[in-house]
Amino acid sequence: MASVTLPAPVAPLPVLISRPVGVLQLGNDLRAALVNGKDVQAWAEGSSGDAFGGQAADASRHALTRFSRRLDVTEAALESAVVATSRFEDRLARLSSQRLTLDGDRVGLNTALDDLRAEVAGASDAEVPLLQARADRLQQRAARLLADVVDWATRVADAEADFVAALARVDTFDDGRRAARDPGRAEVDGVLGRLGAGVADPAAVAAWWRLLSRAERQTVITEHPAIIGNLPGIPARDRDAANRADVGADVDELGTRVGQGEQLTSTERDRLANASAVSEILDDHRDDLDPRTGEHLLHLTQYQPDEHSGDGGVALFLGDPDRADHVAVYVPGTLSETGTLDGTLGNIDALHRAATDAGDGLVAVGFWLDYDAPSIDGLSPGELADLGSVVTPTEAAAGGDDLADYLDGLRASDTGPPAHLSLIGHSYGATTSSYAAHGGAPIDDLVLLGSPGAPTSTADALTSAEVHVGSADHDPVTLLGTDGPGGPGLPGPLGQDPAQDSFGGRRFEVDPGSYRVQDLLANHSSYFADESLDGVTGIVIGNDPDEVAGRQPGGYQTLDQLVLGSTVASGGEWLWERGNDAVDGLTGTVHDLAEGLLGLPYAFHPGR
Amino acid sequence: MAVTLDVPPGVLRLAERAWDDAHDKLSAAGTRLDGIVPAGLSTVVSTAVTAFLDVWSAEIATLVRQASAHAGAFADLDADLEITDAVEAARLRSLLPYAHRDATIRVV
Repeated sequence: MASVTLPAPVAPLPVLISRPVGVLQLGNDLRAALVNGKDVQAWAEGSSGDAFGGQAADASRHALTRFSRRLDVTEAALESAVVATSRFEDRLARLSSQRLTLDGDRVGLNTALDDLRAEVAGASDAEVPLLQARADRLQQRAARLLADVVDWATRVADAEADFVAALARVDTFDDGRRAARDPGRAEVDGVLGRLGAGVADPAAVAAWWRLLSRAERQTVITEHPAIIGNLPGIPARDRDAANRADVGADVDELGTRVGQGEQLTSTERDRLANASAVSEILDDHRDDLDPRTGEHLLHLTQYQPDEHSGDGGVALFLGDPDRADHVAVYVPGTLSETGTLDGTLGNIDALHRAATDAGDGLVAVGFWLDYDAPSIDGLSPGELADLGSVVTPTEAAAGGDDLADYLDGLRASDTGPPAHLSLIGHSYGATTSSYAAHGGAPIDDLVLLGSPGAPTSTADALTSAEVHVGSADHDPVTLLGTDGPGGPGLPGPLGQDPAQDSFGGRRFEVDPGSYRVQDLLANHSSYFADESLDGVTGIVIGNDPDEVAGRQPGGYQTLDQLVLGSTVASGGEWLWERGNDAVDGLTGTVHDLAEGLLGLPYAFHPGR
Repeated sequence: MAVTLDVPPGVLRLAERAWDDAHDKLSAAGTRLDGIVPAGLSTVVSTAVTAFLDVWSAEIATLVRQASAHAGAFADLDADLEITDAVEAARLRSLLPYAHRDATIRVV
């Protein structure tokens, strides 16, 4: 056997014990505490604010001022810790990414070594010089890799040491007092003043934010989390930090008051319910990492717990939309409230996984639910007013404006080459998305799933983006846009059926759905599976799905034909099982559906 | 002997409520800090975090007690706003919004 000196395989890399996710959670907790502390500080300063108008000596003796100043010391210490935590998290994220690269190199090198070892085992003496030369090159490569690993480990140690030192600089009361008096301490009014009227322009917001120091950003985030968390143009990571702080502060404060036996107001109860629902999602996904970047997966990009008559507004992303190559925003339809988000999250999770598996680039998929989507399930008398919005496009039009602003913000905070941006609406959310597109939302693709209607008669009139339509033949909601008050084929209460051939959209293949009457409503909620999910996935990563023919007059069943035909096809078994009550109910449903408006609440199914 | 502080009763109730709110918010902040269990961090980092939190959790607890005491002092006022001595009246006055900093203290 030939004799060749081979280098030893490179051992596994040291583990990164301090992980970015751990530091992120620490930062979130510190910011949440700071938000409540700063609320108290704002009150205390405001209550004694007159004192700073020229009688400082008098004010200094004022108890409120003393309290405020003492609290400010704690704030300054926490602010310093938040900044240090933010810096540490960024360094660890880079080190984590570098470790992935180094480990890839290590695996490649060891594989090459294994291959060479196998060749040496079967080689002749004449082949030794050549094989030894290869071994020597691998040896050099291993030496460089090991040096890089040592360098990486040193940088890990440095990052930890710097963070520990930063905390140690503010870990006594005197340290905190020095931090509070530091003339270089970020001052929020001055920072906000630099934005000025630009607050209404996402591009100006993004430019302003880029110029702020880390300390200034963190100060504004904790001072005004509700503004920064919902301001178009602020990067998703920072919106996430602000919104998580706001959610945490809400849960902490309102939970404390409930724990003390205090009766909350109706608005406060809604806020706590919404905050708790969002907090639960954040906790459930705390350790989820982006499979491509290794960074934390979920970004909370909108949190407005008091909006929409207490339903709340929320938007989030799986992935970082500012860095992703493909970004998709999903707008759910009816029954979309902050307190019940599991189904919606399940839909975007399925799409994110499928798009990540199918494409090469980074993918971010989110949902936007910051409009007054109709609520129709288990309606209480107080919610009956929502019914009106189910059958009119009013809320969709208003929501469309806000949605367009949100999408403008995503474009403004995008980094690198502009992302491929898709807007996906389902049910009433499809109508809302259509309005956003019609209002000039900066999207590349519009996907309408189970749409009950769009505001224009053609895709070209709607938007310059590509319009894709997924409408199951047996989804009754998609037929609402074809049989309006004016007669067959004319727009319904929410506009034109985009699946019509004359509309000019790209209708892609979806499962037609069951033709049993009892399954019709389920057909409306089946767009995130099978062929439909495949089609949407393809659109999200920039591929064109297989097209199918649009609806032609006389070539499809109208709404009443579908309901009656599927009832007959079901052989009456469903009705038989449920007795006369069901017969009466179905008769009423068919009647209402045929009449259009009042039937819509029955036709809609939870969009989650 | 009793002492009267000449401010509208509503001001005192508002002051009590404001200090109560401050107490609740600071309690919430303290609870958040107390609940931090460093995870996903190395031993040296966790130790530093814990040392930091110990100091500022304790400080917030002090502020919570102060806020509670101030709120309690207003709550303890008699319906006719009688206070036992001038020193206490001055202390409460100092906790009122600045507009009431010169409220008259009268011995009755």
